[in-house]
Amino acid sequence: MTAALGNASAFEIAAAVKERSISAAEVTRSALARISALNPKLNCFTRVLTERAEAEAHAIDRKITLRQDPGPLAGVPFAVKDLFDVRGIPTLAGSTIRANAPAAQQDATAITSLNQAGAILVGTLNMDEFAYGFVTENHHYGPTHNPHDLQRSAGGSSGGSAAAVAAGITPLSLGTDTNGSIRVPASFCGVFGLKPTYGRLSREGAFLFAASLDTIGPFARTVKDLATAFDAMQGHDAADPVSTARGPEPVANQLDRGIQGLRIAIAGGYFVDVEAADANHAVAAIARALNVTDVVDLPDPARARAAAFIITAAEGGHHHLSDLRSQPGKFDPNTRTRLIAGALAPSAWVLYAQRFRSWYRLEMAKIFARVDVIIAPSTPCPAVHIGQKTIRWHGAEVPARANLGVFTQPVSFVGLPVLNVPVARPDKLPIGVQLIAAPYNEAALFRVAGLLEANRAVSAPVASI
Amino acid sequence: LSDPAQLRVREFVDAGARMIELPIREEDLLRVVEDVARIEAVAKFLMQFELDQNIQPAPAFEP
Repeated sequence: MTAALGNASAFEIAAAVKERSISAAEVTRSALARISALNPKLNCFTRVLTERAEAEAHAIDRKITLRQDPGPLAGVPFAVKDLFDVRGIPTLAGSTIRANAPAAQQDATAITSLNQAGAILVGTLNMDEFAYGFVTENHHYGPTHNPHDLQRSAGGSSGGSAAAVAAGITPLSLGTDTNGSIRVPASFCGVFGLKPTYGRLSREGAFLFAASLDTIGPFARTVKDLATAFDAMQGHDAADPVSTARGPEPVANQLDRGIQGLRIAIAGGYFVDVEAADANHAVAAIARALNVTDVVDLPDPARARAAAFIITAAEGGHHHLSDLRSQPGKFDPNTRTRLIAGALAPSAWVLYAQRFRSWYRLEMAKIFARVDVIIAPSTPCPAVHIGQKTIRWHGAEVPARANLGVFTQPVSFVGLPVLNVPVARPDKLPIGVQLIAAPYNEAALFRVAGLLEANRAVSAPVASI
Repeated sequence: LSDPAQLRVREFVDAGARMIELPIREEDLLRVVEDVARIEAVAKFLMQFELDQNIQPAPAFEP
């Protein structure tokens, strides 16, 4: 199995570890070797946690020797966006400002949950500074390259998380999503990515960007792996003030249920740009695979995006106000001026955006009374080139960095759960499609994704590098 | 910064930055003005949408 570990799913690795056909230590050594071999080309890892990973692997192997349950992710290597607290090291969040911050006293809750499920943390992953971006062209740590085409962006802000999984370095990773930071890189890198319902997974120990929008979530190359990781992280956490009090609602047992009884529709209007051929074809392929023809128009998504933009700017600016005053020179200049502008946003704009959010939430609830899952493109195009300045959007050249989230921002704005599925298109650059559901209905998303994967309409093959 | 529209935003930026005690570097000024102007344009677009007066700002912690 050793030679094939880069292609193996988390489920396959855990099964092999549990039946002792390979040890967790061997799996870990293999993952560390792939980091050494591939990271110089990809620049997706910011720190490699060799000693910690070896110790965790040893603990899993010991549990197996003692015939104790090592967990559903026994011996599975994973890595996290560089904004999750990792015990013993400072949390950089893609910045240099925090290089001298005190080392984290404990792991983020999500890391603890995955460790408890048997997974092994091997490193931290590159991102846009403070998660403010869609391209992971980090001013301090360099760009992350897309494993499917090294000249192209991995997307952002969780670009390292998507690239590590797409390259087969780890079968699982964690990222965060404020306005599309899981879905955009998942689309560009051709992997599954879940932005759960706001409040569903604990953010304790994650360095936040815009607190009323931020969620954490997993990346994987199979739906089952994504579901297993999601299930492992569910549960109330009193340490995160927005953590839901609802009990866990496992989804791994939903994958084979099929879609009978689910009402599925395609997002129309704003989500259809005649020039976005790849995105249109991707949505059409998913609709065809599901035999869906109904179209639903979301209530003014352009203004939802506008409101999300204002709230993000204001919350982000406020969050960093102290450092903007005391050490402005340490920010990426691009990040700095946007954060300053956000800090200056008048309350009249921000409160109007928050009022619009209330209205939009009610309107979306009306839609979800008649539709269970909505299909929409994740990105307007496949991965852009690193450094690319513009993309085409509704007949005009628009700045790429600001507009890669055109389809993701209006959705996450009201905390909806969204699963990016990578559309199967051999010999072409990947592109993803969003499956969107009502709050806390992740189960419906996994049922749809499970069927699509079984029918081979979606897949996430390891990139050839 | 000679365009009247930019000068208008600059006045706002100068006053706002003083109010929240946020010094702005000279080399950042133009970009900050552009970024604030962008937020203003987005806000104006948003506020063309007329909301019922009874609609309150969204609570932070509810999806």
